[in-house]
Amino acid sequence: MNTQTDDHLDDDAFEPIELGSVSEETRGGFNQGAEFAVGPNSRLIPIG
Amino acid sequence: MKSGISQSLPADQYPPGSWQYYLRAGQKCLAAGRSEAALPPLLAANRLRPGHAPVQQSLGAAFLRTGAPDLALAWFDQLLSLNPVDGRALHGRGLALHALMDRPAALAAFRQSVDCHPDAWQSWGSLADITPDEDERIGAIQCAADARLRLCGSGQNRPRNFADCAKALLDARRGHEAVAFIRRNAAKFEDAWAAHDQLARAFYETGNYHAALKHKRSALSLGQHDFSGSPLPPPFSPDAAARALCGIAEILDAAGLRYFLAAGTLLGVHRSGAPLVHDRDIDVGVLADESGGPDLARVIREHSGLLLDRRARPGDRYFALTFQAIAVDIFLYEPCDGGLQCGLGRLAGDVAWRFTSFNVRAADFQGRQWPIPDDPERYLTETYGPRWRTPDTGFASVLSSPALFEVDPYVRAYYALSRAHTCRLTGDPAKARALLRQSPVHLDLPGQYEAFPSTDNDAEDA
Repeated sequence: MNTQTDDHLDDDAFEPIELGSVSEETRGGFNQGAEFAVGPNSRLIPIG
Repeated sequence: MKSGISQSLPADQYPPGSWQYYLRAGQKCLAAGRSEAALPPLLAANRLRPGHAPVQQSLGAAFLRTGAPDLALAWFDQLLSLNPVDGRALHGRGLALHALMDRPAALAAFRQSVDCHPDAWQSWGSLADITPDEDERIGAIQCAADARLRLCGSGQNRPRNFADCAKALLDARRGHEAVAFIRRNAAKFEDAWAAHDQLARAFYETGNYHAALKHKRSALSLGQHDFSGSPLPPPFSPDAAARALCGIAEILDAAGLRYFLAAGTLLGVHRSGAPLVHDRDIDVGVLADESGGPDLARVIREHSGLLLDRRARPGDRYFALTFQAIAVDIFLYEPCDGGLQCGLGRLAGDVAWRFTSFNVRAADFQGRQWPIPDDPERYLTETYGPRWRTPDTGFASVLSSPALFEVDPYVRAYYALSRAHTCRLTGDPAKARALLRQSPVHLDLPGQYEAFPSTDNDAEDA
């Protein structure tokens, strides 16, 4: 069996992992903005 | 770059011990966000099949995501030594260089990537993320949106690409085009929820708040969807927030800005000298000067430690950042009719607050001088009402602040519904109900299913 040929066939099957952009890869997007905010402007008394 | 859809078999369908078995296992770990666990099988695959491009690229990705950008860079450079125009390797090289804090070299890698591969939306997005040049940033945002559109038109894409394309169009501030795109392709989205949710955002961006609310309600009627795959923010830590606040203060000081602690952050430090335990973020105000400045977008864009959101533009008055894993909201307070006004957007009817004019003075909190409004209790009263000292976890200044100024009722309802949904997802139904009660438009978190409206002639377009 020609294993090298088999390997080349498999090359096409293993498409590499796709990396995201800088902001996606650095997980810099926790602040999803005002729409998702549930705490910042709540009228809370601090604890401690 | 191709779409990245692997047609390979599951790892357990390759002979155990084969390089294919290890590569598939490593890629599966990477896709699941388990980058540390991906390394042993990928290294095993590389021992069995040295020089195999997908193995090397996966190793580069795994090292990048495990905080070893120097090792990642070595793998990407090895790929480029064999193929100097390898798009994924060029992009990975840019990411590794950025992680190594070499912004000029990272920019060069991303520019080379898009020169070779004009549809490399990840590299266009990265250019937009880190370039200090506003013209290049805007051009990159537009090119990323165009690349996404081409990808969606190619017929070789995943349903997720359509939501991403809609978002890219909104990043490019092409709201009307986004509305048309979503309607045209609604059936190709992952599900009707995703289409409705993106349509809600697109209508909001165009100032059609009634239609935005309608589609937000439709989206939420379709189930318990989460944050579209985005990671939930880590639990809020007042200590970490205080450290982040010091870091942000250094940046704002260096830029010569007149800033002050605002909203919930001021409430926390004014009462106890520290950020609120139950807060979510840091709120900072910046006083505008007579000429409309400062250019907050430039300050953020040019600082290597900050990422300017792609939707942000010079002239905006609200900037949402993440700094040291802490959410930071920066508001520009501008003179207006003898008072000061800040807000989220600049379209008529969007959220805005108006305050009695004030200056900034220094106050001592925990041994450090912090700038605050010169009459902090008046500011807090205007923000939260006369009972600002009383706990009210359901209160939201975006909904019920006495300082709200000419806000469209559908905008307030949109935020009430969005935030109530977030509260429900995070296990706080009491606050969800409290938020819904503050809506000027009757709302309920819908539970019924409904079909996606396919007509292009809805009254909402008016």
